[in-house]
Amino acid sequence: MRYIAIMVALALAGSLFAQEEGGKKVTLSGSVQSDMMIAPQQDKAIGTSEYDNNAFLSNTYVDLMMQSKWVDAGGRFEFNQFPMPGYQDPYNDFKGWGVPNLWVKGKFKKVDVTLGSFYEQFGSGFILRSYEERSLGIDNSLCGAHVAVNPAKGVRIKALSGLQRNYWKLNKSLISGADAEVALDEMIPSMMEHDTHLTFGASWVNKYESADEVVMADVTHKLNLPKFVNAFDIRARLQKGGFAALLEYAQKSQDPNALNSYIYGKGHAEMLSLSYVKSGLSLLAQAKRSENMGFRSIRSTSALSNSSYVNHLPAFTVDQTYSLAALYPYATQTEGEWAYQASAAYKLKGRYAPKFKVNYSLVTGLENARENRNNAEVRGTDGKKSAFFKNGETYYQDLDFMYEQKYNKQFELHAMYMYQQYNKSIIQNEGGNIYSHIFVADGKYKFNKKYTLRGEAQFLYTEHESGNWGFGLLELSVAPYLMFTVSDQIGKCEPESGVYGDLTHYYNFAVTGNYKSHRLQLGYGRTRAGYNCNGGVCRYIPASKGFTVSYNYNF
Amino acid sequence: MNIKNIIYTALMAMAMSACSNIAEDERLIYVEPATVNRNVLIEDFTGQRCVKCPNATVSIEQIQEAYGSDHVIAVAIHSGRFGFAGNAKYVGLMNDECKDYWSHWFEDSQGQPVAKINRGSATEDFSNWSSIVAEEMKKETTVQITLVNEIDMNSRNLHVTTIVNDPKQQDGKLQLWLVEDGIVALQLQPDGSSKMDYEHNHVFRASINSAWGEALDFNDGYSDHVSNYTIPEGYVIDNCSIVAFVYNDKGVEQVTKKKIEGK
Repeated sequence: MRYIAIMVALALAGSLFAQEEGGKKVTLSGSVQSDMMIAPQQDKAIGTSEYDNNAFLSNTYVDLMMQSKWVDAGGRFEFNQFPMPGYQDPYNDFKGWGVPNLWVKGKFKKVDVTLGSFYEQFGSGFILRSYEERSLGIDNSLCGAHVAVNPAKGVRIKALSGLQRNYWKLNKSLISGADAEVALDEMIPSMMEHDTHLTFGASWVNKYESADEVVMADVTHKLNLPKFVNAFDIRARLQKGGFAALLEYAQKSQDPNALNSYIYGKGHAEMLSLSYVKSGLSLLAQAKRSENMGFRSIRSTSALSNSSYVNHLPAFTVDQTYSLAALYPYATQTEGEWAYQASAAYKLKGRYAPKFKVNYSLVTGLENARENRNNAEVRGTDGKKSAFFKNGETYYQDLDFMYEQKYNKQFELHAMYMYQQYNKSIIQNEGGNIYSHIFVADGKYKFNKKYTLRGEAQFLYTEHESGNWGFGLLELSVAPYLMFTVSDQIGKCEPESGVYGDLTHYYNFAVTGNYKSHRLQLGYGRTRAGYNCNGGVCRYIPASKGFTVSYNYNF
Repeated sequence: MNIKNIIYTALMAMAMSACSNIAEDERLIYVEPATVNRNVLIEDFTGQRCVKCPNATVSIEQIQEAYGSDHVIAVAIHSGRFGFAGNAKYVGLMNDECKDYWSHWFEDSQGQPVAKINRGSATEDFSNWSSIVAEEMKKETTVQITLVNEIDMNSRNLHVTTIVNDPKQQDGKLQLWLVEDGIVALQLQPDGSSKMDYEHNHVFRASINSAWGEALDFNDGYSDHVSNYTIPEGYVIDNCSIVAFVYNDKGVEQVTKKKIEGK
């Protein structure tokens, strides 16, 4: 199958190159990304796996896209036969190689038609979000047909149907859906004149999956499983001047699956988001409640797998970039949660004026939703219900104060203080609550046009048995091509879950070169076991040690 | 799925969108309990720090209640990321042999609980263990195991005589394990709390005839085995049993369990 896909891709490329219409050429663009680990080493002190001598690990992606006036086409070649640490595990069948992504798109007057692989999101993603996130090993694209129509000004309609990608196969369930959005401001000129934008949207997604699967409720009864699962979403978005508001509601019909202990209760999600932006000031306040909205194309997929999600529940926690602030990242709990976020940022006027930002995020459970998790007793029932406004246990909260200022042409400083509560018992199934105070200072000094030095110092203080952490980094840029980085992260090693050892250094050395569209990074060091999260979805990264090479090329 | 089926299914999906609800009294379909043609072994790779594991234990107890604990024999092998070897403060049930079994079957990232039923594929969905047990139970076997054990309570020396009878004289190995019931020790619960007085049953303590057993050696359909083992201090002999099973490349052919009888 993969060889046929490669030949089709090459044939398509050839035929498109041959076309010229009215002097307009076909344009070719793409990218190469390859992350490699050469001869990974076993290091018992940090709990790495054992590897064969001279092993070579790599996640490699080559994307190609051809564009013309009427037809676009593209594809992706992936080589993950020897995947990087943590990508292949019992739950994620990541290992393999081939052309898993191939598509062609016809662009007509008001209609676009895509055949093959495509990505799509309806609204905020409560009922449909197919996307690619390589750092998490996620690609849940759909393979089928996608039609987008603009029948009138301000009206957008989409319809789709396809099978979902699950690593190197397509899941045997059919995902279909439709979405309509009406932008009233595009239909009523006076609204546009008053800088008022109002959009209404509605979506529907259906999953068809065979009900022949045997799922036992008890020793002598199996479940009568629904073949069809339907989900609906409605939303309204208003923007006037610097003020914006989004209100969204989603509902899912009976969907007994491995995530919710096979209960038959319906799922629903509600979200309200308010923001205001005006000359240097920005404000955000939002709240979201979700209950039983885990939606997968294969109902029996393990809760520990990242594959086969049809939807995505956004996390209201900030994805931190500083390593100690990201030590304990939050993972969205599909059985149900309340999430709140409020932030304010203000930049004083002036080129060298400071900017201040404060952010508060809070995620709590629902009253009884946790009882629908890993609980055989609720199987076949509607599950335990939770009062709408009642908050359960705190799952996560953080309060961040950030300051940044460019003092002059040479020097700029970023500083942050963060207070964090991380409920490890909920998020990682053991470990209690970790309360941390995190301090970050990040300064950059530009000596001249050629040399710039950046230094980072971070400290995490906690009374939890996991102990304090420290981090230091120095980065020297030699414009325009080179960058040298050395860093060290120090804290208690955790070679087994919940077992804390001695203070350990996780050092790293790297050299990065940039030339035109090429970027090459060579590195050596230790990586701590932990979780890498993006948007509330997390992947476990095991400890590793060795030489790394990373290459990127865009054309 | 071919194109015609996909189009048909998509149209049906839209038409059936209002009809997908299943009433409460229609959600369960009766399944006839399996006929017992052989006993079944459940190797439950569990852990004291595994919050899901108590629910898996409940599933095992339900299966044993339905088919009889003589026919469904469970062994809890404390191991993996959520196993606990103990410390000065708390009793741990994970020992080196448990770790070796875990390393043999699983990668470090394997979740728990996970079971091997009659040494088949590993399975985590404990709600489905009953259907796997039922399928295994229906399979016929020609292997029978007779187990006799005696212990000297003073010296704690255990003498085990095992007779394996198989008219087909199939290749395989005999494995003897010591298990103990009624061990009170901590166990994390599904809500994340720690239950200090949790009663652990059928806990794997030791292999009696080496980690992977001994080869069968048939003579006219019978293979006789004798093993001796000194039960360590700290194990309550009255709560101990011997689990004996015959296995090969196809899985576990037969299993039996017998309480230790003192003299």
